[in-house]
Amino acid sequence: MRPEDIIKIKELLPTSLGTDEIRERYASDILRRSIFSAKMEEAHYLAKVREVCARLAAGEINEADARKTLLDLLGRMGHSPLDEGGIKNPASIRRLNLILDTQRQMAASVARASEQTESTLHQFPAWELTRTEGRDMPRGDWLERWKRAGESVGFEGVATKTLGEMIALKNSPIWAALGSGAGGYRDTLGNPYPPFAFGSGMGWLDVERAKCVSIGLINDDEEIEIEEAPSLSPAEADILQAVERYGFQDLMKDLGVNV
Amino acid sequence: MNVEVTIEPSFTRFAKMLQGPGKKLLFSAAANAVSVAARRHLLSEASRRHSSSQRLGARPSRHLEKGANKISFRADENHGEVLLPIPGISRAFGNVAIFAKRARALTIPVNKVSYARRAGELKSLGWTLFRPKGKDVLMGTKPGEDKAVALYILKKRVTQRQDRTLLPSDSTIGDTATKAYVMEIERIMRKAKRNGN
Repeated sequence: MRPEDIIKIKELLPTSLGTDEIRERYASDILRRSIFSAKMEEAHYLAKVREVCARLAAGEINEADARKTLLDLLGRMGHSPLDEGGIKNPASIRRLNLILDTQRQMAASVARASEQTESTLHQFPAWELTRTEGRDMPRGDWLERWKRAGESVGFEGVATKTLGEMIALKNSPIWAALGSGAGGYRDTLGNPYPPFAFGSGMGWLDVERAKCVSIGLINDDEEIEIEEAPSLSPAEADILQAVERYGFQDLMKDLGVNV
Repeated sequence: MNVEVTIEPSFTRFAKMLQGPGKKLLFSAAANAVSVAARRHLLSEASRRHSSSQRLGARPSRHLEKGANKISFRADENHGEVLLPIPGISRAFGNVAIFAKRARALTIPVNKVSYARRAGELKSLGWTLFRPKGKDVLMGTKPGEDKAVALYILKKRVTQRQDRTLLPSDSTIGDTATKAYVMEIERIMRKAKRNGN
């Protein structure tokens, strides 16, 4: 599933509540499914936000185009970036950038999570939390947040032999703990995927199996627990039969791989 | 812009023994691995590419970093594809000519205020924009000020030269795909053994 597909299936959630109030009043999963924009009750504006975010995710427009489109509509609704109110002004540039960035990052993360199958998890069993987008004023407390989230889940599935690297298995409960603000952080969105805090430029990078084994996160013959099918799928059976006919050693030799 | 992942010549004889679903599964594994490699590569490159914004003293747009996070993949029975929905990425494979689509000219920012911004956004912020007669430049005055500054150069067309370093090399892509095929085959063989197939 592509990020633009994720955005297109999101529901609209007009609300007059502020973000903290939204988080407390609604379950995280409703928030995740919705295009939310604190204190904006105009459904047609939220529909335009969804459309613009989907086009941004698909690479059809850039952020300048996205902002321009929303500013034009907000202007017709009587809002101006020159109005007072700072980030509470619906038309403030800072607020628009925050909405566009947050929706873009969330959609990309959900799309990436939806790609996780037995095959992808075997190749890349873990995520590394690292800076994927620069920020003018990055938060300096991610290692501390990681430590507190890890402590809250007993470091289950978390690499403990890596200095300064924040790596955990994709099914580790640390990701949900991080998104919930374990340790008392109130700037999170309640999601088990990036962004783990408002305006954050920290994201996921897939970690190769070989590295996961070398840092003791997983054994060489271990698979990450998802609901593994009890028998081979038709595609897997197809490959197995072909390997048996061809000969595994011959195949590896043809591919130039030492086994 | 998509990067296509296809069968390596050394793999052709084996691939002919596969039905469609098997091929799709292998292409999917390879496309996933190449998408991960492309993402890491682009993020590494992006952190070094802020020359335009630095020249103007502007905040970087970070469009390559943001684009890297949108990379995804898909596969069918004939090939795998890595999807790169990033404006401008096609110049990894050749020169790119850019023309104005709806406007009369392209607006090339020459000021930190106009960098990564449409002229319409500046108008929303109260700027007064004007084009001096006979000049291919868009000037503007900030709200409350009298002095006009140059904001954009107007051009009918811009050519961006090819930059192959935006993406991993062909050999890296090939090696990544081959490694992914092997890992997937090994995974299936282990699963078969666990399940008594």
